[in-house]
Amino acid sequence: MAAEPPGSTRDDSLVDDARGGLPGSFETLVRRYHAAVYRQILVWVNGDHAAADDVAQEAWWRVAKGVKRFEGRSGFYAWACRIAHNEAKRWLGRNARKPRLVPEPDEEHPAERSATGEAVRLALSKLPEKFATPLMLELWEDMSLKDIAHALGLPEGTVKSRLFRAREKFRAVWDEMESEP
Amino acid sequence: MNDRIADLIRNAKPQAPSPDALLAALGSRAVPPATGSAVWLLRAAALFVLAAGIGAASALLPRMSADTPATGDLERVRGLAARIESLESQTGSVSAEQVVEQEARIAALETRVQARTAIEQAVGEYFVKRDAAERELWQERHLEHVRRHYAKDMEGTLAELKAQNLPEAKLVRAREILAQHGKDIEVLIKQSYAQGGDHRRGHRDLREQFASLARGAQDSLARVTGENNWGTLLGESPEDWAPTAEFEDLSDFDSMMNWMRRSSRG
Repeated sequence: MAAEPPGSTRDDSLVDDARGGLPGSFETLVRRYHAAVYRQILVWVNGDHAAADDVAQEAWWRVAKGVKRFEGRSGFYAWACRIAHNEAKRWLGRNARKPRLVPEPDEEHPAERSATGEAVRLALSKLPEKFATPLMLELWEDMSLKDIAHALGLPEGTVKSRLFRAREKFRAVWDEMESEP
Repeated sequence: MNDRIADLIRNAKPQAPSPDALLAALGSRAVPPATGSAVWLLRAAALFVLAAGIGAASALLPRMSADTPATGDLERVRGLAARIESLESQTGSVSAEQVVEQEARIAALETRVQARTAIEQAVGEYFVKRDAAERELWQERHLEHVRRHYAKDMEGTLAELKAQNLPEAKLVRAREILAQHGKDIEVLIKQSYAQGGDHRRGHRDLREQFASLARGAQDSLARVTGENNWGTLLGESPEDWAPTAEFEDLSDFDSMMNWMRRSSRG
């Protein structure tokens, strides 16, 4: 996914249009970022697709309600992601006492059938959000450094540094998980 | 990055559903969710009281304007009174009753002007106090968030250093540096809130101040630990220390947006 496909309307223009109530503008933002937001939510809710659907819906609903007050200075994607992360934390808080269900193998989600895939997502969920998000954008959404910086509203140098730290932290978590019996 | 690790993460990419179902669901939620929870009921009650208050205030202000003559009218009456005095002194043809009547009218007008000034002053003071209390609340919640998260980050960093077998004396020094950095961040945030009322204007220097603090702490840590690459672990931008936005109530959202606005380049 590219944050700014060539010739497409920029995020800030779409946000302005959405704030003004222009039909279709918010829908374009949702279509542009839903997959990336959803994948991150899925990591945060331990791979539970039903929960990810609920959390995504609630998060986008809150984004829709708040967009009129969003001034576009922190990056729309970063803002939406942050709301989604908070919503996921709320979901985890509400479901903390429920036993975690191991998902059945699902033909619709072949990647989820792999034990390694699940372990990788578990490791990602253990990273702080500010490190996990750019890593997932780089490797899952194929976004360039420039696109990630734009989407998160951060300088490119900061993103580069966070990616470096994220890789180090992921490696440490992964090694620890591998060494566990 | 190690290619094996990168491939591992790439291969774990989960599928995402089409946004069509989500958009349909959002479309069906055209109004905020109806809920019987106490929080929603309290919010509704608070909004009702607020709306009633605003309505009463806005109804009062036009009436004050209509009943109270403008300053120009007052000057005109004063001019007339002066003219009466002048004519009386010149011709003696103006009655004492007319003078008394004009003086009484002037006194009544002056009383109204004073009353209006007092009300405007009281309303102004109310808003100043309300804004100050709001800022204080935002600051308190913000600092609480920063303390909580900073303590967690600091202990994590120290645990990493300990795992690298850093000598105890150096660990103590690293803790001092990190603790001081946390205190400096709090001071910076307090200064930002204390700077005042117009949080719609961005705070130009804040970003540079956060970055400078992080650089200073990182340099000190590098000297103690011998490790130069601290990256952004210490959080060099205002966004890294933004208040939480848990949306337990709408003031969470306000405090986060307020900080994002004030910490942006303006």
